[in-house]
Amino acid sequence: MSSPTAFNEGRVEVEGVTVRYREAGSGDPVVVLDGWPWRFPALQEALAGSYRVLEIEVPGGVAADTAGPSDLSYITGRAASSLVEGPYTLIGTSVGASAALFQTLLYPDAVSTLVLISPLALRPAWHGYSGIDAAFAHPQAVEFPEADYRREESALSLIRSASHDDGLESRLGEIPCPTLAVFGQEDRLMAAEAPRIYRERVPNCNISFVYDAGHVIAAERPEALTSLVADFIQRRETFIVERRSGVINP
Amino acid sequence: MKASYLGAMGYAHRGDFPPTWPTPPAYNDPETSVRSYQDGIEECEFAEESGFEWVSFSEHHYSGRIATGAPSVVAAAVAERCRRVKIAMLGHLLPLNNPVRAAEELGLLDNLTNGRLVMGFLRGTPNEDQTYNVNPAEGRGRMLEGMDLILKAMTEPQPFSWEGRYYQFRTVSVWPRPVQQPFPPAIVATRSDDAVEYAARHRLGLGVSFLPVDDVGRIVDKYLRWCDDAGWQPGPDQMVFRGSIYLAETDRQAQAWFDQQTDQGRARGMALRSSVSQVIQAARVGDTVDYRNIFAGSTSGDIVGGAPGLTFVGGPDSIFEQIKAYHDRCRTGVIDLFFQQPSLTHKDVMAEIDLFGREILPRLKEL
Repeated sequence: MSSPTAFNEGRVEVEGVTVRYREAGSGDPVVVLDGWPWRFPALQEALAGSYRVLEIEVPGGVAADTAGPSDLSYITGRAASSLVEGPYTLIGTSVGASAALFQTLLYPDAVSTLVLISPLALRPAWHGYSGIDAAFAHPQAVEFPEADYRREESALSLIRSASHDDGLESRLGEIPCPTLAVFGQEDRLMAAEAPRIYRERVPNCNISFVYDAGHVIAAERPEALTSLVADFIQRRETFIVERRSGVINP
Repeated sequence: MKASYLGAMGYAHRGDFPPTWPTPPAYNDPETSVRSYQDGIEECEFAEESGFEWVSFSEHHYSGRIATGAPSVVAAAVAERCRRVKIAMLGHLLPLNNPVRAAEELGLLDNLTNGRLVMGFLRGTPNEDQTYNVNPAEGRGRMLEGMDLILKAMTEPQPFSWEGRYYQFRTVSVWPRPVQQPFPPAIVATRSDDAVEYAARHRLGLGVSFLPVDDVGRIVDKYLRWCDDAGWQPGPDQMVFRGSIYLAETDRQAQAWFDQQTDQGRARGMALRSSVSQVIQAARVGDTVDYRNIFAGSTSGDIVGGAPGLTFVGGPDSIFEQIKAYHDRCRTGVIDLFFQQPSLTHKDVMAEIDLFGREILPRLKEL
């Protein structure tokens, strides 16, 4: 069994704001804005085997009262540009996907490929669930990296803070890069029509449903998420073409 | 209560088949086969004329007993001849099928019938797994995922990709959309808790086949409890029971026929070699098999798939009471009947349909 990939921690200053990040691997850069308090690292660790992965921590959290995703994306975008040369793949998860969308709109030449995982930017649908179980298809089967009441409160706060952004929706047509939007088939935290909006509005967007996963796909179907996202980053919109051989015996 | 006629399209000389599965193609004479399908379609038409409200089709392979390996093809042919009845696909064997293909066939059938389709999803009997080389241990998982994918493919208006456990499709964009929105009435045909719970959670109907009334009742009790948990209750068209039937003018005549069948060894299911049967059954329940202890079985084989006997036997009054018991105990709203017993001719079956339509259906409709 291979040992977990070691991520080194670092900091970068952007206009007086200290931005923390984790880094591992080498190769073309992949910048990750994870909007979830628990870190389910399978995707980042797998990508670090082929790419230089930079997990940028959104200052104050993506639900910070003082700044919305559009303001924070200015900071995270500047941080990314100071850490990597040339275009990069950008991955945003959950509420972090809102920041990733704004970052792509702010720095369209910097983002070569955009991956949105369970994005809550459009039509979030918090139905007053009492606990974090609503974020999972099978909450009893999830192994949390840390049992932490404060993280659970933080997660609930994040989800509740998500709101539909008409302005962002109206600008989705400006996203120039190949985009993949991934959704858990049993994600109850957004309206059923949310996925199709990305497909309809973003010019070069594929939407994908991961079976038997809720909002936190990385916790419930990490292998499926990893293979999908890795394939898209490598092949972008041509990932729809099957390359595996069907030959049983030559 | 409604009645459904199972369009089995049995081969005319099915009574001469050996009891083992699969039935060798050598038993199929093309001329007889063509006539058998025409007879089967005529039976469906007559069932509609006689008051049946559904005609159903079921995917079964490699046997002329229920000779509808490609049920959508037969359903489309019958739908052109029967213009009123519901066309009930009860249904696709999901572990065997590409769910996207199934969604395409179902969407097309709902268009061709202008919204008369009823969908059904089931796992199939153990022998069916061998048809398209499916690991029996994975059948249940394939069925559950297949249902999710079919419903997604029917309801998602934009192209999408699917990352499943058993299925991966990078472009799904099913055409045509079903006439009945968001999707046609759907029945999950099962006895297993996980699929029953799935039906309840997704507000789908329940179909149960060939079990005694109390056994069906226990399954229905669980289903209704889970429906209640999900905040709904099924209507009568969502409670389907399939049984086999032999109807005669009198109980005495029916019993005489049944006794004759039993004496001739015909009241039995299909058989596999016992070694194969052991391995399949073990795989289905998740047991491991020590192959060193498996020896070649007898060629007559063991019965698989529940070996259903006849569910309903008798004259009109008795059959009515037998069916009514399912209605009363199991809330069955649609009774799907398999008339084509192996030794019966087309003429026999037509006479049964006629008798059923005259003597039983009017009373069933009052329930």
